[in-house]
Amino acid sequence: MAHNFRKILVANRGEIAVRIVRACRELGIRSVAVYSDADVDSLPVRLADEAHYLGPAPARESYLNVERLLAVARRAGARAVHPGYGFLAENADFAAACAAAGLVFIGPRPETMRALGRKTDARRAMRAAGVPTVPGTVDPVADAAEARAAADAVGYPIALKAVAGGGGRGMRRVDDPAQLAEALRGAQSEALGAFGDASVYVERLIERPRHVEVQILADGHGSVVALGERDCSIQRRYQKLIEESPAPGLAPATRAGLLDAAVQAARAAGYVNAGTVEFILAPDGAYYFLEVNARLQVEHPVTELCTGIDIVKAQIAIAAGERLPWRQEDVQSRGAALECRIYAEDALGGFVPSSGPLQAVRVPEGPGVRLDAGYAAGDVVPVYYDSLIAKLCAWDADRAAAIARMQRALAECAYLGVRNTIGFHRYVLAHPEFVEARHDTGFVGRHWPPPEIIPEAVARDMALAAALARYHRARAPRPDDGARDGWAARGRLAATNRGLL
Amino acid sequence: MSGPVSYRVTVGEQEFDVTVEPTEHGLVARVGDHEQRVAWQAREAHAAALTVDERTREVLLAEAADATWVALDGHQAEARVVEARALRLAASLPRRAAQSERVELRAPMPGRVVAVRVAPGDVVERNALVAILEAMKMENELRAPRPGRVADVRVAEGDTVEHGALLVVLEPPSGE
Repeated sequence: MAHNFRKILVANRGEIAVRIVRACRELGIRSVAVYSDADVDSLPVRLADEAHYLGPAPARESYLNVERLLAVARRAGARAVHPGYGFLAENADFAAACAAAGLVFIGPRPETMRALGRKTDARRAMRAAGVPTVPGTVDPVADAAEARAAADAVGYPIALKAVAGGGGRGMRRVDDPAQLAEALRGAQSEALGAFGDASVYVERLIERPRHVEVQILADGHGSVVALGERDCSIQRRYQKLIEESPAPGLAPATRAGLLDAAVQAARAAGYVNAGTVEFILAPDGAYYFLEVNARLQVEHPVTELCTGIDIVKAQIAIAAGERLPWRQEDVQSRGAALECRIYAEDALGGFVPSSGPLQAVRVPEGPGVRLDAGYAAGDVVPVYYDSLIAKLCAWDADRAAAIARMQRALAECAYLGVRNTIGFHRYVLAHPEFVEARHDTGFVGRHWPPPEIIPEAVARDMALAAALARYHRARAPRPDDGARDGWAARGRLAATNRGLL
Repeated sequence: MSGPVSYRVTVGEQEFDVTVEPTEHGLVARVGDHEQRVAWQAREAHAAALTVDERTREVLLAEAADATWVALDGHQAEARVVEARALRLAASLPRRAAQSERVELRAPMPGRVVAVRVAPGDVVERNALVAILEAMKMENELRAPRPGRVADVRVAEGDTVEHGALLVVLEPPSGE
């Protein structure tokens, strides 16, 4: 597989760079990591076959610097570039620049990315291909009157969405006509600020939706397979936190329809490489095309665990011009898998990013557990980038067993030094609404934060442990140790102890 | 063998008073109303085995400048540990003295004055070392709670003082 790539440049950082470096190592391909000033000794830099400096910490001057990346690729003699996700992964100009520089971009073609990037164009193409889309306009609305007419046609509540959008920016919910003009102004100015394009279109708002997506692989020879679906309904502010496969409680006919629709969508777009077709699933089982993510997804491991297919290796093989070795009937999804994204964020404090050194790390082990981490003990989580530390996945024979296994693995996992989302995951996985799969994308808004996530008995023993650590440290002092008890007894305490006791 | 040591520990929103006492049968710890036999075996830089009443568990722990990070029983939290003696010291002095007030620095416990580091007329910064008091085999640094000028020094090195004895008087820096 993929023998014509001797060396691949990994144009990313963190856990996804590690993931790609690992795939290269397994394929016998040399990997080239890149790094900014904030990532000089980072895990991917330590793991890759070679590493090259990009620039200062801000992404614009490093991981988004196309000229610099191409220069590094040329200097290192890389034949292909894997963009990971985020940064330049869905940047058609970068994909085109790679091609112009004689590099293979491991991802879809630039023209595919451009066509799918504009939501109204994508909606029009999907409607033409017979893929269900949310009722609404296929063109941007010019003014409030046009929006009013469109909203009347689909019925309230409606959503106003940015044509160039994503991540919930440039989006407004409108419950009745009186709010429409104001909401349109807000959505347009937000879209302009976020994407440089004020165009907004109208969709019917689906209440209590689930987010379900289908992983597809398409080669350059016309073959497309669906690798099953993922439910990503545990989100906050449109950012996924927990994903699972299969989507729980899906009727077999609905699942078959979704997978078919995804394959149709990929064909309609002339899609090549790995991609994800996102749908929203209404409580009545109806599903609607949302968008295509023209890249590797963060949550691809859950699909890998269920299908046994290595999606990153498949991406490399497809980019090398190979044919998919599987037909649709060869793809079997077994058991159930979950992914919990461990972010360096203060989950109880509104998911505010938390950065700093990881002072002590414990990683889970044992059967059915997979950890994709971007950092190890001693590494610093920088403030400049996405705060994802690691993705913890668990697989087991069915969903209940996979949840139990994930709870066990989360309980073994610790990243000390930054606040993180492990406690959040333990809470969600124990919540009856999630366990019974009655949840939807509003779960976090409804249930988080709870009053207290650490049981009193555990907090008591934590207090004891912290006190015992201090007690023993004071009795086995090192020269530079000082009890940090505030202004009164600084520094001298330990030294004096040693002398007198 | 030394005596009991008490701590006030905050874990998230929860606060506990912990007392650790060595006995001939090992350590006994009291957390709130719970009294337990405990053992603490450091295993590596950040890991220890904590035994409470015969039950042993793994603790991951990192002591940072302002917090102790603890992972136990599948939960992670930042604990803030203050030795009770330090709490008493802090409580014995005006915490946030107004800039315009005179401040009397008093002995937070009975002890012997090991050093006096200021003289009348000195201008001191907030947190400047004023005197060192030896008590309970420990040297305790007494620091200025705010900037000021030393108006009076009532003790000398070698003096033995009672709890609450007046040591040093600070007045506002410009004497206004």
